[in-house]
Amino acid sequence: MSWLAIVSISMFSSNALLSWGLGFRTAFASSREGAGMRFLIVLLFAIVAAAMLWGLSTYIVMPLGLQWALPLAYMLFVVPTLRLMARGFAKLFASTGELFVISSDELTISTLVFGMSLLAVRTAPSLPDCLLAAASAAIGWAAAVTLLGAIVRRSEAGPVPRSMSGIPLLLVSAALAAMVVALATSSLALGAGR
Amino acid sequence: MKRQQFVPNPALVSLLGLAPLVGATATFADGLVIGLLAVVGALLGYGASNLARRHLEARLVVPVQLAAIGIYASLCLVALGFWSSALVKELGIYVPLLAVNGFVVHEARRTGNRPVAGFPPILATGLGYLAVALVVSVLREVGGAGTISLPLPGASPREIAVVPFPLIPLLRSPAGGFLVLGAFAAVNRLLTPAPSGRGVTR
Repeated sequence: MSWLAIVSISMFSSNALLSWGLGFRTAFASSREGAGMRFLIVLLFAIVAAAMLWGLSTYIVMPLGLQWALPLAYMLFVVPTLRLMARGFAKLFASTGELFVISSDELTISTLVFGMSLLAVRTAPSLPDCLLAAASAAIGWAAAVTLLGAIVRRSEAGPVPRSMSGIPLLLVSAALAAMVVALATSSLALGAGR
Repeated sequence: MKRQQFVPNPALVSLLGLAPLVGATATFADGLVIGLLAVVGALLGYGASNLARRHLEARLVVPVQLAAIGIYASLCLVALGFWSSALVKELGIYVPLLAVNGFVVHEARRTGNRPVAGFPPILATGLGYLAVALVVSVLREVGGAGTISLPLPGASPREIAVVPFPLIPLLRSPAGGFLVLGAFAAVNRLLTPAPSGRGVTR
């Protein structure tokens, strides 16, 4: 698979937020303060988790036929590594350390990081491709979060009934965004096929 | 049990465990299985955490909790593989993701002076989560494909035709999942009493 195909699949047609529903809580249940920092942590964690999961999958899980043990391997090896990394970075960047620890503690055990790394391992057979897929997935997630956030903010500027405000509006906006992305990617695929 | 225990649904209010409700509810079989696995995972995770709190040092509680949920997700993959390979394929990444499912992890971290007293509220919240998974999956499958799939053992789930043709095929896609869940969240909001002093937003 070409690097362009990996990027387009991970960012658009298999977008973590709009195609898989991953990372809603991370994006919309936390305060908007430190959103940039949160994205950087997601990017970093996704790359590290994908690299470790690729190694575990390629050298231990698949050769031994232990595909079922992947969740356990993730919890035993990847999560502690991410936690150690978070503590290390917090000490290194003392000024933003507290924010880093809060965001990273929440992210070490989240469907977003594990989901993106699982998708990256499934999409790309080699380590460089896997890392590219993980980074693209994180960027695609951040783009979708920004898009959805903007849609929701603009919609809430008008009169929204109580029943639709907040999470219902967010989910309906996500449906519209998912439809647009699906339509755009299928049109591009059709165009490329001609 | 009080109505309040069901209404503040973890997914619809706190966005906990939302991903499987969007991605793994395209058929009734998927919704039922993923909802049940999440509820059982939450109960087992809470039980394991409490046992660890009572018998181990404090610093070991979180690792034991994580390992317990990881083992549970792995065992789910094994059991589902034996039950129906089609279900494992359809549920895709959502079975391994049980290990980090927001609802499961959140409930497993509950603390209390009387550990046994923690089970009924978790069961109540879990039933709410399962109810959302079932309703969303039924609406999506009946509306999107005109069938109801049963999670029977074997190579593929058994499909029963309910309506002769799919009414809204879009409902089978992730966008359909968001749409049905959004509508469900709006209905849930309507049924929930408004907090005092708040009415229509702006």
